[in-house]
Amino acid sequence: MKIQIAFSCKEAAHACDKHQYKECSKSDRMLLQFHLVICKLCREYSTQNKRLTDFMHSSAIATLSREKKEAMKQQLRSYL
Amino acid sequence: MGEVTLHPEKWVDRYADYLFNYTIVRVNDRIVAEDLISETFLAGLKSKDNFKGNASERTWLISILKRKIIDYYRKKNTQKAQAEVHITYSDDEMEGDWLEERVEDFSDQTAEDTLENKELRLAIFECLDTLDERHADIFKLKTIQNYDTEAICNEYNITPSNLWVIIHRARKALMTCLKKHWLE
Repeated sequence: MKIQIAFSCKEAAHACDKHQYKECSKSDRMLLQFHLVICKLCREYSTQNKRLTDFMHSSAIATLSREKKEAMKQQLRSYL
Repeated sequence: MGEVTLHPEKWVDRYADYLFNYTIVRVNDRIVAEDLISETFLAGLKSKDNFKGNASERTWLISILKRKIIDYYRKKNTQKAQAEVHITYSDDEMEGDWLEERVEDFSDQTAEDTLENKELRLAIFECLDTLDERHADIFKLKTIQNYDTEAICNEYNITPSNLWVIIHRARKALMTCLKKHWLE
């Protein structure tokens, strides 16, 4: 098995996306950090990505549950 | 003439979340908000012949929803007035515990929900609208409702790497859009 020592930009972006959902492994997080030190573009992407995550949280945006939506659809359909 | 026609079968997918956010800041109760939206859709269906086609579907539904919200508060206020009359008959234990005071006061909760946040939510919705409908749904499930990657993959019959590609595209598009509409 090859041990990965550096991320490409694509891999870094993927790890960064996963990190927004706390689904990035520790080793990937380290590789991401290394990559960010050397890559300005990915640093920018990471900043923006983090900002979007903050926006989604701070806006307290809410959605209806799938079940509720399904129920509404059925109700509407019965009147159509 | 480019007149707008109604598509009630698409209402839930297209507008339910938008209407929900509109309502929740005004009534502060999920269940009430859900009911009001159901009622709005039904009322829309009933009066769909009155739709003149000179507003967008969403604007039209919002105007119905607004009336529903006003009705809801009107009803709530009548109940409150009745509660005050009945209070004289309550027992000693309840003394001073005015029913009126026990009617929920949301002013503190809404204070936290700043105008900025409301506008931000609207901006996010405008931007979500520019995405492919399926991508927007997947992004919302993952980001807002915190669904597991696995659950979404099963639901949409896609692989985790498909999912992450969709999430990546959605996030990039949203960042660009929000930068334009919100940060500038």
